[in-house]
Amino acid sequence: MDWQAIQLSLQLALATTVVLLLMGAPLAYWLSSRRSVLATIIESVVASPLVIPPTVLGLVILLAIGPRGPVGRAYESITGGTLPFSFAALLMASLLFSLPFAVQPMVAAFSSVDRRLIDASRCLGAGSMKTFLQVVLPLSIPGICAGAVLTFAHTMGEFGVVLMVGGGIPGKTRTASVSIYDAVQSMEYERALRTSLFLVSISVMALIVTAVLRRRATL
Amino acid sequence: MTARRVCLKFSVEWKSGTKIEAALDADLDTQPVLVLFGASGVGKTTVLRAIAGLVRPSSGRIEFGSTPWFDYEARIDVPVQHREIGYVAQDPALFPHMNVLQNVRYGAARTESGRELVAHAMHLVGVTHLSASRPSELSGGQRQRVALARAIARQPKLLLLDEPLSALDQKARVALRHELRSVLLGSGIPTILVTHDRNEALCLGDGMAVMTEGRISQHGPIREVLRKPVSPAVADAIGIETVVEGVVVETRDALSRVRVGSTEVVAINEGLIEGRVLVCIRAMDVVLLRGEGPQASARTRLNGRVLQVRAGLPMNQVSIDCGFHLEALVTAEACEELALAEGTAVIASVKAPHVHLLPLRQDAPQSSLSEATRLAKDTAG
Repeated sequence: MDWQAIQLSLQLALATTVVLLLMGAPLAYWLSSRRSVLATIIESVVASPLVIPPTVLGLVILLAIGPRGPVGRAYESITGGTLPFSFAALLMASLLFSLPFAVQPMVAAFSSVDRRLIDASRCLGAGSMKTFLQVVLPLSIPGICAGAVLTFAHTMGEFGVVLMVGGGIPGKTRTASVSIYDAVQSMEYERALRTSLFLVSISVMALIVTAVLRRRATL
Repeated sequence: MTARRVCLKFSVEWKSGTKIEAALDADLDTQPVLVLFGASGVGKTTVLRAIAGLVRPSSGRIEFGSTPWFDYEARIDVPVQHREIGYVAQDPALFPHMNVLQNVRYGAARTESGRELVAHAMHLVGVTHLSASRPSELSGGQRQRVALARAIARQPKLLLLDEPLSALDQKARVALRHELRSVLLGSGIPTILVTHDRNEALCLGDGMAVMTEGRISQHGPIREVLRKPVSPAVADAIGIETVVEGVVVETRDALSRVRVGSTEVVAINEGLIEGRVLVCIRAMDVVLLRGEGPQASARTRLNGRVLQVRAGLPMNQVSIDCGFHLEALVTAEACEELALAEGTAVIASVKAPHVHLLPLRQDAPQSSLSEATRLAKDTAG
């Protein structure tokens, strides 16, 4: 089993989940409370990774973060380093690719909070932040959990974008799914199966944890 | 302007084309509980939500004390959370993930005085013993009490109650009605309360604003509004049981004889109205007698026969044919004593100040008058 690749995948999935929860929750709340044209456009942009082929998305990201790309140039001017084939590039790509998996369940969860409770909170003098933190967020835990698990599981198994942006450098950008691919390429089926089994067990555990959290939140 | 004067003149237009208009200038120092009254669907909740800031009017102005809360022209629209109001909707909307104490504490200040206000509000409303309970563990009445305590605990400048007892059964509603009045007065917070129940309005309110056809048609002290509606529509809305067409025959010293059907009634006529009128008589102002009965000060004594006795709570409603169709409210006990049944001969007695006259345009078509009368009768029935 390629423990190094599994460790990297776990790090990437965890970082992606945390960052997307922190960044995606306010975006999802904004989307759930607006019916404007702008909100519709942004919602479509957020959902676009669902329909864009991973390799195409990976290529676009690679070009953007490359030495001639706008993101790559900005990154180089600030840090002096380059982005392609680094963990930072993997994270950036994962954030973009997993964005709809985090945001869409959260939008659904925030939208399902009873509007009368939000009105009640505002009538009691609470601003948007207090209403969000003390009313909307606690009542949306099942949806947030679902978003987190989907993001985590999706990032753990991501292959196309990761390969395009990271290149599969062992110990640096080779994730578990890339490692499985490499093992199959080199006819090491046993190693590929062991790593696959590990990925499956993590996914099943994540689903169990989510189910428990959801039950607690609804009881 | 006094600190507790609410002054509004605005309209709300929905996409469906429905338009709600509100024009009101009420001093809540003299009328601490103002009832916004009207039939279901007339726009009472929309007016209340606009005052709260939950609905944005299409034009106009809303002012409380000397503070403009909304002014379309001046582009002022104070957010709901800054209007310092307490709002209790038909559905109490308690936060399901918090217990009663956390709910009541939600809007209150996190200071010692804030904590005292929370304790006081819970004590006033009688929910102190429920502090640790979750909303799902409470009855409908208890939930409404908690919602009221939550609204009062933050000491708002104005309390807005939207049919707060409507979700309760009849028994619980009657029981809580009297308590609510003392809670509202005890809190010292001026209140605008929406209801379509006349008994509830009478029990809770000091002032009354009646909404008909999407606008506020009459406002004043509650007993005056209920006794002297300014139009057939208001008479219909407040449920005056008998509204019939008549003709003023003679007026002397502001006292008129009015021909109604095949008989005559005597009415106070301070406005010296002449010609065709609508005669409004509340069922509760009609006294029924058997035989000649004792001598009384009432100027109108009408011989009639009982058409129907409808059982109700707390009074039975009796329909009488006395030359016109007259409704009376009688307790079940009195019904038994008078042996009231279909066909019983009775004398209906009404004091002149209880007969209210509404002027009718002399050229008003007969059909529309009949419609107004019919509507009022239907409502009474």
